[in-house]
Amino acid sequence: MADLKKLIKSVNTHIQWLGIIKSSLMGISTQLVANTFLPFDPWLSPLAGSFASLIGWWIHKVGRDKKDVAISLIHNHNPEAEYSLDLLDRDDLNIAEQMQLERIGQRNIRFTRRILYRGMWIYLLALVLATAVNDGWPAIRDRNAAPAKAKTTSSAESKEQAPVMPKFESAGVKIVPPAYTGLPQRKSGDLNVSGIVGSQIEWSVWFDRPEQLSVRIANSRGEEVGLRQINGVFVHQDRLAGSGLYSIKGYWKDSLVYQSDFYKLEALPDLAPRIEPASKELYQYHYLKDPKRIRISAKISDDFRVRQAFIVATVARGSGENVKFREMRLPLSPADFREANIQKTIDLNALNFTPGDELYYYWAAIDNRTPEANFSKSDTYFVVYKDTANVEESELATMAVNVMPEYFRSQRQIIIDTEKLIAKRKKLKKTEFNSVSNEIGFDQKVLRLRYGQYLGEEFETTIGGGDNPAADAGNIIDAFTHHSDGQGEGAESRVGEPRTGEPAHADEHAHEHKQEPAGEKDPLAALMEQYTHSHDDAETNTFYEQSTRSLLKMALEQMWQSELHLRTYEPEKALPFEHKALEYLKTAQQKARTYVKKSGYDPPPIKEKEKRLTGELKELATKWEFEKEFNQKQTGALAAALLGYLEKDKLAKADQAKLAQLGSEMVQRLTGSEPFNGGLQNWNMIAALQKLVAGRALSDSEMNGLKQDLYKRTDAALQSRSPWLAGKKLEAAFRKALR
Amino acid sequence: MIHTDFNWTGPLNLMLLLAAVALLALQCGLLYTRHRHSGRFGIRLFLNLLVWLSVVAWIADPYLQSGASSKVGLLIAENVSSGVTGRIRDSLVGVEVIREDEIASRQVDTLVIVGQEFDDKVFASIRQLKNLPDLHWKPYFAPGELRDLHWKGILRKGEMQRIEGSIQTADKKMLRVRYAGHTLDSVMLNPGSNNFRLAFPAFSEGRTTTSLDLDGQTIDTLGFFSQPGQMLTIRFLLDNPDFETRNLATWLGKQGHSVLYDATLSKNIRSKLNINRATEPELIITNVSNAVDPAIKKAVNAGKSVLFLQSGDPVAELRSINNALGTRFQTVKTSNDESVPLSPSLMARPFRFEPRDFQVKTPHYPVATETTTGKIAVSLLNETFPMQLAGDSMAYGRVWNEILAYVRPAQASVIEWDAPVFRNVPVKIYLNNFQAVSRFLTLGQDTISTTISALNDRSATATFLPVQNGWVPLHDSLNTELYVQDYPSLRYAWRMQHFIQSTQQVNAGTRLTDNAVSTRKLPGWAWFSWLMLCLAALWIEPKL
Repeated sequence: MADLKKLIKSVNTHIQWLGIIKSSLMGISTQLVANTFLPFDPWLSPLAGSFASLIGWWIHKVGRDKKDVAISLIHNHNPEAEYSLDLLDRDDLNIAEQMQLERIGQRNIRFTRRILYRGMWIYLLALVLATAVNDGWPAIRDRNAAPAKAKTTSSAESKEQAPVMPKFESAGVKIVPPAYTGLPQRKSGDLNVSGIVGSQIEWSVWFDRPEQLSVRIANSRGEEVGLRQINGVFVHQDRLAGSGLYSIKGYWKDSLVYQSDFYKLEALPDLAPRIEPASKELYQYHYLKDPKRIRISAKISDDFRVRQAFIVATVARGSGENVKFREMRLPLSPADFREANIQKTIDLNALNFTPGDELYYYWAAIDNRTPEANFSKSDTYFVVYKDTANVEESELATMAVNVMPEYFRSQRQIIIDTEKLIAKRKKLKKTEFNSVSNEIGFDQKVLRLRYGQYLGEEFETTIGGGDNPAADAGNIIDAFTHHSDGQGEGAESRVGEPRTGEPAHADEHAHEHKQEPAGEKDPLAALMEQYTHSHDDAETNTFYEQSTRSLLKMALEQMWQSELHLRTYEPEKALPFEHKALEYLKTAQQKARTYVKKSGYDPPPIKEKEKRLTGELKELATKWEFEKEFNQKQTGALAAALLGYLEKDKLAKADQAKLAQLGSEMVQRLTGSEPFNGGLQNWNMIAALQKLVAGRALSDSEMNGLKQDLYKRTDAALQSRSPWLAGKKLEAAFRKALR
Repeated sequence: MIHTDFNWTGPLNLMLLLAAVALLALQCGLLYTRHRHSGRFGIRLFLNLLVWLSVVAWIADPYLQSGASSKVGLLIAENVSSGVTGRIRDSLVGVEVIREDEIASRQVDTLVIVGQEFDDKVFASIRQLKNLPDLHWKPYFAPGELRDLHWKGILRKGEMQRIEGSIQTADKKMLRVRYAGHTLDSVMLNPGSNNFRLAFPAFSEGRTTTSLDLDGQTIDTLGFFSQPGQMLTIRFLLDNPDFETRNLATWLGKQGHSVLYDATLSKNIRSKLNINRATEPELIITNVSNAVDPAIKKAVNAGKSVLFLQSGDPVAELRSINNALGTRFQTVKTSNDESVPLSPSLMARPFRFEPRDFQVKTPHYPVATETTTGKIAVSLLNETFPMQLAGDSMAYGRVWNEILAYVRPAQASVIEWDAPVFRNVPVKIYLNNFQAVSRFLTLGQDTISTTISALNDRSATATFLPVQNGWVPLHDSLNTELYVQDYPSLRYAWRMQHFIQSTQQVNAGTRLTDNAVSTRKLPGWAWFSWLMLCLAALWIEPKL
C-alpha cells in the first residue's frame, strides 16, 4: 500500500514538473519570437515571455495538486489497479474496500513515465520554430530591405536609417614591385607607401555602409581620383611614378564624411649599375716590348640585376687631319647577374694595334629595368702605343692635346742645322754657305718672332729689324709658309731688294685709324682696331709669371745675337747663343706647363663725364615708362602670416578660408622646393599644414613642430622701429631749444 | 576731548531726544508722586538720573579723541617667509602685527605692508578706514620669481621686442625666451639680483605667445600682438640707372613695397619704372647730386625720409647735403684704403660718422640718419648687389632691412601699450599719429574714452581696466588684440603698486586738514553691561 501511495506521489510530482517545463518552454518561445519582431525595446520581449509563461502556468495549473490526474493516468494504463486507487485517500474504509486495497497492494503496479511526455513535442517544436525565426528573420529582412527602401521610403523607416553615416573601417595597400625587380609583393595597413618607381599600387578601403558613398584619393594639391567599388570594397590601382602626399576622402551624398591623415607616397628610384674598374690609372703607355694582351677587370653591380655589361673600345690611328677611329663593342660574360667581378683580356693584335695608335676604352653596363634600362659607364681609359721611331710626330698625331706648338722645338733644329753647316763649310762655296747661313738666320728670326708674340712683341717693326709680313695680310701663317709667287718668307729673305710700300705701311700702322676713315675698312676689323691697340706691351701679358717672362726675354736676346751672327755668316759665333737660347727655352718650358696664346685686351679708360649723354639721340623714345608688379608673397611673409593663425583656438569662417589659402600655398612651395631645400623631407610640416588647411586640430607636439618649422622660414630681422610723431611745430621748437 | 557724532538736526534724532526728555520727566514725576515720603528718595532719584544719563549717553555715542600717538602696524602677506618677517619686525620698534581681518578694528597711523599676495577684501578694508594710514609697501618675491617684467604688448612685424625685468636667483642660471621650444634670445644670470634685457625681432603677424624659461623651466608666458609690417612707397631719384639701385628696387618690390624708379638715361630721356603701383613716396633714395633738388627739400619738409646712396667723396658730398638740407653730418677718415671690408662680401667707404645730436647710426653698417622734419640718411656702403649675385640674399636682406628700419618715416596710426596687462589692473594705451584720434576706443565689450595730450595734438591716451583674462579684441582693421595675462606673483605686485599709488594720491589731498588723531569708543558690550547694571540697581533697590 505504501508503494502505491509512493507511486502516486511520484507521478504527481512528475506531472507538476512537466507543467513547469512546458510553461517555461512556452515562455521562452514567445520571448524569442517577440525579440525578433520587437527588437527596439529591451523590456518588451521578456515581458511577453513571462506573460506566456504565466499563461502556461495557468493552463497547466501548475502548483495545484494533480493527485486525481495521476491516479486516473495510472488507472487508465494499469488495469490491474482496478480503478481502486481512490480508496487510498479515504479514511474510513469498510471491509470490502480494505480487502480490495490489500488485493491491489499485493499486485505489482507499474507506471511507464513515458506516457507523461506525450504532447511535449508541441512545446519543443514551438521552441525550435521560435529559435529558427529569431535567427533567420534578420537575414531575410535585410535582404528585403534594400528593394523595399528603393520602392517606397516608408517615412518611419527612412527616418531611422538616414542619419546613420557610413563609417570608415579600415584601409590597406598592396604594393606589387615591377616584375624585373624580383621583389615580393607587400600588403600592409600602413598607408605610407614607399616602393620602386613603376610599382603597381592597389589601395583598398572598407566602409561599414558602402551605399551611396564615393571614395577618392586626393593629393596635396587637391586633385582627386575616384575609387571603384567592388563588392563593398573601394579599390584603386595605379603605377608609382613620383613622390608626394595623399589622403583618402569619403563623400556621402555630396558631403565629406571622412578624411584620413596625409600619407607619404615615396618613389624610390632604380639605380643605374655601378662599375668599379680595378685599375685606377686612366692613361698608360704601351711599349713595343710589352705583351700584346691587356688584362683588365672591373666589379659591376646593380641594386637588382645587370642584364649586360660590355666594353666599348676605340682605336685611333693616324695623325693630323688623317685620324681614323674604329669603335668596337665587346660584350662581356657572364650576363644577367647581380654583382660580378668581370675580367677581360683585350688582344691588341686582334685590334691591329700598331705603334702610334691609341686605344680608348670604357666599361658600360645596362640593368634589367623595364621599359628602358638604366645605363652607366666608367671613365675612359687610354692606352697609347709609344712610337719610339717618331716620338715627336706621334705626340702631335695623337688625339691628346698637344700642349706646345711645333715652333717651340725648332731651336734645337737650328743648332743642328748650324752645326751641319759648320761641318760642311769646307765643301761648300762661299755664296752657298752664306746663303744657308742667312737662311738659318731667317729661321732664327721666325722663331724669335714666334716667341716674341707670346711676350706681346707682335710686330718686329716695333722691336727693330726687318718688317713682318704678317702685318700686311693679317695672316700670320703666311709669314712662315713658302709661297712661290714671291710672297711670305721667300720674299722677305731678299734683303737687298728695295721695298716701297711696306715701311710706309708699317709707320702708318703705328698711327693707324687717325688717317684711315673707319668706314673704308672691314667694319669688324675697324671696330676691333679701336680697342686692340695695346701691342708691344710685354707687361700687359699676364699669362706668365714674372720669372717665365724674364726667361723668355733672355732667350729672345740670345736669339737676336745668334741671328745677327748667322746673318753676318758667322755660324760659329752664333752657336753659343743658340745653345744658350735653347737652354732658356727649355727652362721656360719646364716652368710654364701650358702656353696660352694671348687673346685678351685692355681697353683704354673711358672718360665717363665727357662721353656720357653725348651720343646721338635720333629715333629714340624720350619716355620710358614701365610697370611691374610682384604679386607673390615672399615665403617669409607667408610663414609669418600663418604663425598668427596658429595661436587662435577658434577661427572665423573668413579666417579659416584665409588660413587654408595660405597653408596650401605654403605646402605647394614646400613640395615644389628642391631636394636641397628639403623638398619632401619637410613632410612632417606639410602633413601638419594639410591638417590645418582641412580644419582639423593639431596635437600639441605637431603644433610645436609646425611653429618651429614656420619660425625658421620667417624673415625674422629688424625691419622697423617704433615711430612716434609730434606736431611739426612742437618738434621744430624742441629741436631749436636743444641746439 | 570727548566728542560725539550725534546729529542734532536730524528729526528722528530730535524725536529721540524729546523722548529722552519725556522719559526724564516721567521718571521724576513718578518718583515724586509715589516715593516722596519713603526714606530713600535721594538714592532713588540718583539711580533714576543715572539710568537716564546712561541712556542719553548711549544714544549720543561719545568717543574720545586723543592727539597723534604714532602707531605702526605691520601687515604681512601669508607667503612671506618667516625669516623676512622676523627681520622686518625686529627693525621696526613698537610695531604691532595686524592680521588681515583686524585692519578695520586696529587703527594705526602707519601701515607697513610686507608682500603683496592679499585678498581683495584687504584693499577694501584699508580704503574704508576712517583715517587712511600712511602706507609703506615692501614687496616680497621668492627667489627665482620674477620681480619685474615689461615688454611691448603690441608692435609691428620686424620691430624689436624687448623684454626687461629683474629676478633674483640663488645660483648661475640661464634665462631664455623661447618660441615653440626655439630659443629666440638668452641671457646668463649671476647669483643675486639681476636686471635682464632680452630682445628679438617680431617675426609673426598676429597673436604670438613666447615663454620665458629659467634653466629649462617655464616661469612665465609672454603674449603680444604683432601687426603686419607697413609697406613703404619708395622713390628712386637717380642721375643714371645702375645695377645697385635697380637690384635694390627689385628687392624692395619683392618684399611688397611700392617703388617708383626714376632715372635719367640720357639727355631729356628719363626712364620710369613703377613697381607695385607706387603713388606718393614716403622714402626717397637718391644720389648726393640731387640733394639740392627741390623735390627732395619738399619731401623732407613734408616729413618724408631721404636716403643718400653711393658716396664717392664723403667729405665733399656730406658738405653739400648739409648745406642743402641743414643737417650736420660729419665723417672722419679711418683708413687710407679705397674701401674697408665690413664682411667678406660687403665693402664700405673708409669713413665713420662723428656722433652728433639728433643723429642715429645703424648698429652694424655705416649709415647715419638725422631727424629734421623728416629723416635724412646717408650710407657709406659700397655696392651691396655682389652679395645677391653671390647667392647670399639673406645677408643682402639683413643689410637693407636694417637700413630701412632706421630710415623709415613715421607712418600712420601707432597704438602702443606696455605688457603685461593684468586683470583688475588698469593699463594705459597710447595712441599716436592717428588721422583723427577717435574719442572712444572699443576693447572687447567696453568702451573707453581717449584723452588727447595737451602738448602734442597727435598723441592721446586711454586707460582700460580689463576684467577677464585672455585676448581682448580692439575691433580695428588689423584685428588687433590685447592680451590680459595671468601670472599671479606679478599680478599681485602690480595691483599692490597701483593701490599704493592711488592711496598716495588720496592722502596727498587730505593730509593738510586732517591731523593725525586716534579715537577711542566704548564698545557695545560695555554699554550693554553698564545699562544692565544701572537697571538692575534700580530694580534691586526697593527690595533691600
